[in-house]
Amino acid sequence: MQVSNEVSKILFFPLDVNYLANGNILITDGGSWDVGGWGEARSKVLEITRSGEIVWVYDKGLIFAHSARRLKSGHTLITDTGNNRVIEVSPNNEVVWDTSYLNNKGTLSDGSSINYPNDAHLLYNGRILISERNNDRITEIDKEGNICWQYDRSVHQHGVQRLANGNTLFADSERNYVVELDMKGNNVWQYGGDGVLNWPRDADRLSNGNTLIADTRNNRILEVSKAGEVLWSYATPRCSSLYEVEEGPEGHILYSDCLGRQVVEIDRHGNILWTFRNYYFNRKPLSNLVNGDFAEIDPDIQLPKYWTSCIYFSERGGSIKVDREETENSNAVKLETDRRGFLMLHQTLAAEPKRPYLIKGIIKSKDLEEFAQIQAAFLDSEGSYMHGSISANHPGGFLVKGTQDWKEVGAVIWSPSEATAVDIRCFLMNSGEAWFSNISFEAL
Amino acid sequence: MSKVVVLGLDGFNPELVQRWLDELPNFKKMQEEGIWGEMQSTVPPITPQAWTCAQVGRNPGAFGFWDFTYRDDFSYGQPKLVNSKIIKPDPLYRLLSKMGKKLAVINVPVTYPPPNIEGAYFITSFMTPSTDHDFTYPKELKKEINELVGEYILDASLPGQNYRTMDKDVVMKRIYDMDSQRFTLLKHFITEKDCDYIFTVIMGTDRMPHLFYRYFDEKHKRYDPDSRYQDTLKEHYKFVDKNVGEIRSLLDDYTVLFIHSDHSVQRLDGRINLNEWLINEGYMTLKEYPSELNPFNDLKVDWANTKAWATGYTGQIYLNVKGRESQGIVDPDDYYKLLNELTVKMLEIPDDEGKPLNTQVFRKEDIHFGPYTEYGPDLFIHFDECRWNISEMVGYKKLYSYDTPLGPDDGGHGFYGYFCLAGPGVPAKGQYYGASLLNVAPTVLYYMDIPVPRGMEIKHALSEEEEVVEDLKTEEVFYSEDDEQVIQDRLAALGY
Repeated sequence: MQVSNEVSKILFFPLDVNYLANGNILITDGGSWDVGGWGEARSKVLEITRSGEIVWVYDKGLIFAHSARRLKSGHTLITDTGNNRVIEVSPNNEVVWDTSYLNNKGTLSDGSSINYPNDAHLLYNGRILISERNNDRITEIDKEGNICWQYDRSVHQHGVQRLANGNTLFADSERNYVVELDMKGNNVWQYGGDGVLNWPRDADRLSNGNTLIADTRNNRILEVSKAGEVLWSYATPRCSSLYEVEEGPEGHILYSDCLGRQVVEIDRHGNILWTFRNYYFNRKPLSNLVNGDFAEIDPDIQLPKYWTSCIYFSERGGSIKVDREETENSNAVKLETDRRGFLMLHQTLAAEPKRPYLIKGIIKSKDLEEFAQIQAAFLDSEGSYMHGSISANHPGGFLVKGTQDWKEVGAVIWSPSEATAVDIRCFLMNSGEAWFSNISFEAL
Repeated sequence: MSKVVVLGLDGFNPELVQRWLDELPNFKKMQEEGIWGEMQSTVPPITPQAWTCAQVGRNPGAFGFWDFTYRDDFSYGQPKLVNSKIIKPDPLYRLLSKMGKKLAVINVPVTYPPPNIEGAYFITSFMTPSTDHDFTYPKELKKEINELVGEYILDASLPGQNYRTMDKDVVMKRIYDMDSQRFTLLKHFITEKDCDYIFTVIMGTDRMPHLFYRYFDEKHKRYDPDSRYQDTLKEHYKFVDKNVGEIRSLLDDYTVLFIHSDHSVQRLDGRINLNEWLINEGYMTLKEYPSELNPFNDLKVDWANTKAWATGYTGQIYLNVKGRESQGIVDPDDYYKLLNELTVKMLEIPDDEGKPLNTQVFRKEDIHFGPYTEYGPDLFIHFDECRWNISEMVGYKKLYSYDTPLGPDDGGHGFYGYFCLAGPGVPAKGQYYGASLLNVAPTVLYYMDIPVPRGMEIKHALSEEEEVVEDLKTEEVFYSEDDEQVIQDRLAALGY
């Protein structure tokens, strides 16, 4: 398919962030979604100084890397998620260990293969603790690939941590819980539940015994006591997808905001101490939405004019089609895919803060695994995606699911304070087919 | 309403039971008919406080000892020997006796001196000075014992000798004799005494693996494949199995048999000389390094320059805290910083060949609570899941050793013991996951149809529905309301 070629940016999708002993920060960037598939070279692990200087990069072959830990040896342990492997890389960028070669064919001692690893730690016992999202399990393996411990009753978990007492803490994301297991896999502590946490993406046990949680879809950070009391919380609209939290010196907290394309450090009063972020605006936002009925087609690439296509797949490969289909009154655009991830057309418009907008359109769908949606993602002055948008994490009332005939969807949405622009998106999540037309976005 | 017989098997290892199950028909049958599994011990997993935790349904912070010795002020070392009088919360025997139950407690650690409880029988354990002392209650019971089994054997060790250094055949014979006495007494009490509750602990199941582990486990550092002792430990498990069968055949239709251990005994890979390590790392300073092996109590410690010290043969570290210990130097503001620093450094201690160990470190406040917690060690360490033990001794001039002056030792204690129960009202539930020693007291009470008192940390029984009988409205003043609230909060967090 044709894709737009936007200017390369530094940070596309920061998934993991760590304080390093030398004072620098290690960032894992999942990569770009404005190019065809996971931009191979755009997923990377960066070590930056506090002044933003990049002092080390590893990006060779990475696809949608989710986590990186600097080891005591100076090496870096990386989950190369899209390649379904965990690698250890030396400071001069040599791969010194790669799960792809375990037992000659990348399999563990039980014959299984690592599937969608999203976190990995080298433990004091010399083994590697790995969270595998698509196997719904947490695995402790030795360097030869022998499984020494595993837990397989979680659902799309993230953010695993082995505690000093041998227990394992993790965010059981799809179950909306943070869970602590003992060495026998018994649940010895948990916090959360529906209505308490919404898709927690990370959990860390602090040195004071409390637990720090990235309550991702509630867009907040919580510190919770053993007794389940919320002792501290932090939320801000200038953050849209808080994925990873880490406590550093003096109780400061570093977090990654992956759709906001930024890494932020705050103190316990909520003051922002440091950020490393992206400047998204490389082209001028349009003043109004144009070609919302897809009447104008660029003859060279056969795509609607003024719209940009993007794909964002968590698993590589597959076919993508963007077609036109006639409706009664106008053209339509059709998005189709057969795998996980998302596909969209988008248009960036200028917007004003704190005012109501009406967003509307019509959608038809067939065999949707997840949903189709017309989204309005507000952006702040630096191009970061803001909380309060209509998006996958914040449905705002008009997700289209399954198979449906043409249906009008729409909502009034207030722009967040500090909004300067909005990204209007025809959005398809996971496999299926969706048609969009008559998109409009107006200030009220 | 049922009666309950509890058979305690000190150090019984659940992995060995499963490995040899086909040769242990009575355990196999009991597992099929009831509930069984692994049972989490206490930190550290040692005999005195483990059996006590099971009896009082509380963690060691509730009664104040973590070893055979203890302190009840902030002195350096653990100067006092544990005994039955210091256990303030009611053990099951006291609670059941208050409920008017007739009971017998045979060879249970930390029951010496035997409590004077009307209507109860006590025969104390190896932690008894000698049989010249009163080791029974009532006193007349001693005569009955002698008539039944002869001179009562308190422990495998002979006077003036440690069982670890005795001739293997001699000590093995003595262990069988000792255990046979216990089984004979247990059977006698079942058939003759009409008790509602009998609790007997067998010690041979701990002593045997300490002596004979190297002969069957090929991973053992001192594995001896061609020894005539190759099957010795298995034969002892079979001996226990045979007795389990005999005991079950004696039980009436109203009696539940509950077998459980206090911890397991597993392969010992070596010892880490923890005070030597603290000295090397600069946390402990001696006025004079000893010329021969000295236990902690004989060390000339320069307390003004010592931040941390270790006692015992399991991992227990105390900090020397300003305002707490008499010559404390660790600023209370630096307490957690020092704990974290020690934790990370100890997790990094490898084995004697430089290979990493699977070590666990526990902070006191994370696992223990109650009025005596403050006197306990500040950190507990299980080096490689307890496969590496500790020595408190100094004079090795090295970090690693294997034996101590107490003699050779094949086994170390493991954190997960065994349990199995069967009988009237016990469902054939099969393997149960997540049991703890703290489940024991509520389970005994459940099958005797007696409510669980306030303060017991786990309320539910090992039963079909994990049922909770309503709290006992006893005059339980052991915990203050604040303590009670702390416990309730913790339990709520655990989902109880």
